[in-house]
Amino acid sequence: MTSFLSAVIHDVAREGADCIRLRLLAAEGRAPLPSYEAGAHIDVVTPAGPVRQYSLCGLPDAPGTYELCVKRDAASRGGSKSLFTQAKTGMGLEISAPRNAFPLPEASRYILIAGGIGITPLMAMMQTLRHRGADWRLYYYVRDPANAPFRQDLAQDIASGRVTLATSLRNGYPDALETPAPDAVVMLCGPNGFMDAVSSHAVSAGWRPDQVRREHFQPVEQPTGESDRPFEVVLSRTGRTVSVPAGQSIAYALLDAGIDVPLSCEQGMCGACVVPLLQGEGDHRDMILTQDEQERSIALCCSRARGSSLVLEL
Amino acid sequence: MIFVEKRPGPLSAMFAGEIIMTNAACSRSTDAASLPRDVTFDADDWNILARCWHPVALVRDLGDRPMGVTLLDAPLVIYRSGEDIVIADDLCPHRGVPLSMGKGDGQTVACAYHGFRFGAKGRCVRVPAHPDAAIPAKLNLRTYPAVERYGLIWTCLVPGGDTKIPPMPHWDDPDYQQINCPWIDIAGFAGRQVEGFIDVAHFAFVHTDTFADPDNPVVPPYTPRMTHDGFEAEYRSSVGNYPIGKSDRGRPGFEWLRHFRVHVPFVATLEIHFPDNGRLVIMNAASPVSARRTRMFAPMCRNFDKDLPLQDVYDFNLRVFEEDRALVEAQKPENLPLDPTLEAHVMADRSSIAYRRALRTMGLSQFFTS
Repeated sequence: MTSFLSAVIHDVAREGADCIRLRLLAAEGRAPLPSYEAGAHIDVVTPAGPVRQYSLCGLPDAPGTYELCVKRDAASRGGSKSLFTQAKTGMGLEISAPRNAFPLPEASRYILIAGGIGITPLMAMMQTLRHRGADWRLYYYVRDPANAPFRQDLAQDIASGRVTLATSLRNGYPDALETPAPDAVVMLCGPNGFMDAVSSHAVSAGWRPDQVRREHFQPVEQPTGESDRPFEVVLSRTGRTVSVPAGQSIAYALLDAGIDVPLSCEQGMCGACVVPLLQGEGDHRDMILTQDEQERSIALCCSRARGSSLVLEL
Repeated sequence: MIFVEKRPGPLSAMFAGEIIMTNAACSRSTDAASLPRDVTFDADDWNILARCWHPVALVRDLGDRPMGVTLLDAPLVIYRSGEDIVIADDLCPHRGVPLSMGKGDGQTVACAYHGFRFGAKGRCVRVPAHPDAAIPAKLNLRTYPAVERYGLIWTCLVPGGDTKIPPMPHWDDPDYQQINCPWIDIAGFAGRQVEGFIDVAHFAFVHTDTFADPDNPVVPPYTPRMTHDGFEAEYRSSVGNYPIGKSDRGRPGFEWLRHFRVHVPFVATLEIHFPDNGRLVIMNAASPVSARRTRMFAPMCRNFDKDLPLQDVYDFNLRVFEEDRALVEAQKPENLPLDPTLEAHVMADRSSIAYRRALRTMGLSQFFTS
């Protein structure tokens, strides 16, 4: 389960305004990459070190070939960014075998709904469904439709009306959601907020919750430190200022300064080191605080500052 | 919400601060007179837990004889009165003898001491010493609601209107076989037992004689989602669920999905997705007998192997829970520390972090930090 496969980048192509598309093959002398079904994803050890998960977006029938689409994400902690900037033909990559947390169920009709880069598993599904001659529609929400990833691949289906591009749910939910059918299924992938909004809209329109399938995996973000900028934290009780250098967490900077910080998991999943955030914008990297909570609190073991300083209630 | 409100203290006191606020808020409503004698819970925690529904018995175990059980340190008697099941304080109002020591006839129960009889709704219907005298209302039993679900009898000591019994997927599905394993008593706290049930990192160390592979200890990432009364988590791994040695049906490469749904305080369901669309649902319904004792009920349902002997299921279930028992009974502190600074956590523990968080959100605190 922990063993990685050795793959090699066969080619890299620009995709849309801010993505690249990679094709991977097994490294020379290795067995062909295992087959997969639409919806599957793989772990990739990125050049910067962190492991990231990517959906396979190519046609699952293409034997031994994996296609990924990687977005250059300004908020990336270094993982996706390093892959985006360093990927080139011939480069080796360690990857996991595909796992499918988002398989296509049997249904008489498929409504695929993508938010942004969530299009990737749905591209594989769309091609599978087309091969099967299934009844499907794709709704693709993307900030800049003209430069959207896969815009070229989708051109014909956009013209025929099977694929609908839109910029925001504010301009309307997919019309197919208005007519729930007992044997149809909704396949949903995108940011959590987007998926929450679409699924609650679907359920209130009369779809059963189990008809709305969501991609399960969340990229597990692990702080890398390498690309992080230094900043300062100000402790409100004493007025003391502590510098947090690049590559060191707030917690360890405070400990070095002789300030006690209760740490437990050191990965942002348990909440032991959460303190009130009084001022400044946090670059939140924990997995436990809700968005609302992140406006008022911060996990010291993993999160950083978007600006030059944070004021903590300490 | 839990992390950000009213946190006055220094870092280490953060969650303690939360605890103090909660207790202060609850203590006003504490009715000391209603607490059981020798209560092992903190009074505020008891008041929160007493408002929840808990299972207390298997329906099939209740015959004509009155049955004595304990819930949250409160001794209860359960008896049949015709079609109805009565749950009442296990105490004759006359001279304090437990009614569970008495006899029953399916309509009434009789106290072992003076033969006072009690029937529907706990009403005293007969005082043998004075057969023709009026019966004072003070002889009526204090009763609690009784609801049958999943083959279990559920009750609530401080009912507040709604019958909040957690859902069990597929139980009412006609394609599914309903199974109720015998209950298991554990000398440990219900919160620790439930947390063991939702723990996915112990399979390779504890359950190697039943279903797990000692060479497969790695826990792939998973993400719990908070719900209104707990959380759910879909855990995908290569750890199979077929009994070891009993079957060669394991499939190389099959990805097993274990879908946990946790309903605070002490009920969790696990829906295991088997090959060929097989489904097994196990409800871990932990009844908090006291802060140190738990009676674990396990209704199950499945849509395959429906022709196999039930005794095999009972035996397998018992073996799995027995493997857990020694550990749950040995854990220190005995209670569940809800303050995340008190134990060390790793990524595989995201479910237990979510569980503790959901318990904190209920307002539970003092008792749990022990």
